[in-house]
Amino acid sequence: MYDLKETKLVVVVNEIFIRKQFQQIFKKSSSQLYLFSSANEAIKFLDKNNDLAIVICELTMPDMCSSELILQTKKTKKLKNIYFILITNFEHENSLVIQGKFGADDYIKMPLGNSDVFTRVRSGIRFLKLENELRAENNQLVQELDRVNLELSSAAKLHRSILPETDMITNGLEVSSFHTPCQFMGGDFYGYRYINKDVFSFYQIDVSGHGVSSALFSFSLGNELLKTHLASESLFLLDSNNDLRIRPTHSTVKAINQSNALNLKSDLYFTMIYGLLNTKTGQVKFCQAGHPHLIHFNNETKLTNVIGDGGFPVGVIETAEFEEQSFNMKKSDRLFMFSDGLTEALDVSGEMYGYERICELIKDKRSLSIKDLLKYIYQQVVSWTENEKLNDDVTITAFQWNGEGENYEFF
Amino acid sequence: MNFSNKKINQSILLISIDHPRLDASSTPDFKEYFSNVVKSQFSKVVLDLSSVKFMDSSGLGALIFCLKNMVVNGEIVIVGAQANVLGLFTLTRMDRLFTHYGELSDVLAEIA
Repeated sequence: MYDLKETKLVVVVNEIFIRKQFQQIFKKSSSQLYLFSSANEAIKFLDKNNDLAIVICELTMPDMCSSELILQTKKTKKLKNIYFILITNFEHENSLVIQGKFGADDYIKMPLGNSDVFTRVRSGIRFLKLENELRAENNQLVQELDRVNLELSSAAKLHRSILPETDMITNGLEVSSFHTPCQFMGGDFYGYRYINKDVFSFYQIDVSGHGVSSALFSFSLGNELLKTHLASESLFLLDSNNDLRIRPTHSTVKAINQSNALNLKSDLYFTMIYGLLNTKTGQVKFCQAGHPHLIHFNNETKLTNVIGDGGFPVGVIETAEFEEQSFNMKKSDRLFMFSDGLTEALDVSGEMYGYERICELIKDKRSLSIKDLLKYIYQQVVSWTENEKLNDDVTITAFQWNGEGENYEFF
Repeated sequence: MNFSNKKINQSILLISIDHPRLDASSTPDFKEYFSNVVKSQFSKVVLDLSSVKFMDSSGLGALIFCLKNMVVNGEIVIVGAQANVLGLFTLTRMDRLFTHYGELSDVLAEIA
């Protein structure tokens, strides 16, 4: 199955009668046999012919020793794959010693036996072919990987396009987000905006799992929800007096849970928090659906409070009921919302970062702006894990309510 | 991944996860194992989580997936969940879907 014809056989032997013997051995196989009496001649030849080659040489040639020849060819890029067979006089050397000492691939003992030479050359050819195939497959894989990486990067850009571009500062409210997917794309998405003059809505969604399948689900879900349940007009409803009212948060989440966008047979589901902040009064109403609790920093007492009673995730139980919870913020208070990638980050011993440590950071670093604080929290959690980055998607959003603002502007 | 199972009776199977993590890296194996041993034969699975130190949303997703793929009215109850793991069940109210028992003997007593 391996053809001698395709492989160049280069023999470097000083003794003419041994060269003749090689001629004899390969006479019938019509192989490409090239005979040389010195190493330099052989190198010159190999330089011009860079296809598959097997070199059979003596330990010592007139112009150099075999290890020098091997070293010289291995240094040249196009010759480094040559297969070397040494002709030795050693009685007891085994191939491992020969390889170790001289860098050759195999050896033949003197006196030369025809079938021995033939077998060694054949196994050399087989080796070269396999190596060649492996190299070709490897190249193909590398190219394929580059292509996939490129596509994932452009998909990641698309994914980012449904997230808010920048932080927001209005007279009464500052909002900042920190988001980093653990791979190219993540299963997290989030958003916030004013839905009328005084009411600011926010949400954060974390699709279970991470990687491409979560990211695809998250992306299509995000697009779908922004067109339907999270679209401005859906966030209002008419009450019994035909007055337009803001739809309660748990009602929105319940509608999402029952929407067709979810495939209840898959094991992908998501957790979310959807909330409304009244920028006039500081009241926050929110629905927690399996998402981590909120952390409220009270600027007056300088204490933090972990808020939330938990709740079903979305996309698990079609008939699930959801609840709305509420609390009040005071002027200059801060509110933090994050995905579980943060609290569930593990250190080397397997301990979770948890809420308490996050609360401590929020209290200790209260003099930082919310933007800098979020970066700081992320860095602290990363160093807790002793890795370069976390192995889950992380999203943190922070709000600072600065009291009633007269106007708001988008930046 | 190390899983083991023991038939409790005709319709109840005990599955133990002898692995410290049930997360994205171990859930594909778990789902495969679960469907292979439970098939449509068992309507109730007692899942021993006492060796699991960490479980994340993928792990929870896998349990939900397994439950949804069981026979109609199939049930999974969990046993011996550690504090972290139990926290995830309560946060997501999944403790209402997967009843939790402290000890295996508690489950067996109730079933028997």
